[in-house]
Amino acid sequence: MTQAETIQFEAHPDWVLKCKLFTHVTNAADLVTHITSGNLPMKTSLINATLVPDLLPLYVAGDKALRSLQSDKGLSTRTLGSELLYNLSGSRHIRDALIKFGVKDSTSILLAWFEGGKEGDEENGDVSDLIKGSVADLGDLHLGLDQSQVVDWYKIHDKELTNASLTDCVVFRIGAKDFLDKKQK
Amino acid sequence: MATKEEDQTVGLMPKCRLLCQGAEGRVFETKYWKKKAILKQRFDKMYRHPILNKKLTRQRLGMEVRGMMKARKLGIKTPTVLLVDQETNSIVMEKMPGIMVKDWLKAGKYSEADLDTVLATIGKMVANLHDGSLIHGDLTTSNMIIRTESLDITFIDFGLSFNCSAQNGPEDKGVDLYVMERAFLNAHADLPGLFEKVLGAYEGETSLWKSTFNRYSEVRMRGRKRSMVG
Repeated sequence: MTQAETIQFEAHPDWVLKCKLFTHVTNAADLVTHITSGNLPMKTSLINATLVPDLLPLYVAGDKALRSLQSDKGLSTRTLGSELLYNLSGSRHIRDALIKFGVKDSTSILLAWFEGGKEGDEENGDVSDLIKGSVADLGDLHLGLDQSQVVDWYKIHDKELTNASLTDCVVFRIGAKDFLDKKQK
Repeated sequence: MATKEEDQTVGLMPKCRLLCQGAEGRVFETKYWKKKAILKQRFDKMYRHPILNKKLTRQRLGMEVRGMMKARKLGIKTPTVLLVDQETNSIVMEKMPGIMVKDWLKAGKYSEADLDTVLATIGKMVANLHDGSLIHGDLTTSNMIIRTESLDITFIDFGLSFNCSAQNGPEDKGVDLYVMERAFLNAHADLPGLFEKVLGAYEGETSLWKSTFNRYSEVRMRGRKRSMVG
């Protein structure tokens, strides 16, 4: 793989999601301040890379975010960037999701930003300059994975892993999110 | 309507090729990023009130997805759900490599030992589902996918699956087994004795054999529907 990947969506030909992986990041605290003060571009997300086993979950979460953007209901969170984090979490607790998947004090960060949409709505979502760290190959994403944390957060059973990869288990929970932890509504 | 070979866009997904159509929905083959995928769409029942229709369709989508999730947690292989779209009532899931057990049995290109392994695997898998109080609801040989090299079995189509209560467990499991027996008898009338082997493996695996078997025998006598007289 390469250092920057452009994900194209079958269902949303006008949009792409670009991503980059940073390791040995030293200024996570500054980034958090930057995000919470609302200065991050609307379509950009900074993701705790230790919880993302592969790019497929990112694709699924991105697809879902774009679908909600186009639906009548709209986004569940304020920006497309935070919607990506929220969807990636597979949970329906926005606050927990943003805390868990946000950068907090992490040293390896996945930067993702959407490009596309209406004209005149373009902004530069690439905030690479803000991050003090080294750019890594996206193929190395799994190297920094914290498997036990992933299993813990998504509540993945041991038996599931006998038949499916960790990525598949995560993707299932993201894709089916709205139907899983809700009893009946 | 588009012909079978033509690609069409379904629920935002382009290039969907119709594979088959049932009473409840249509199944398409498509691509999801780098994976081959299956798109299953339930269509609106025009004769239903729109609000009721929406509620029921949502419920059924949920049933299918939750059934698959539970089956996975019980160690049964099912396709990975990639996306559930409520707007278009569709589920996108990974396409499992392999062929239907039905076709595999019909083709007859297997050894006696392979056949025994497969039937025993099916029996054990159903027993595991039932012991976790999950009822599949449509255990036919077309709803099982087999990989011809490794003989791995995957169950698909959890659209009729549900969780049985402790009270109704034996009845629901008995009916589930009965449906499977009928499916084997109807689809593979030329190969008698298949279901007996499945049931034998089921007996060896389940921990609730007695109550289930008793009820199953009862169901066999009277058919799938319970008499509501009296």
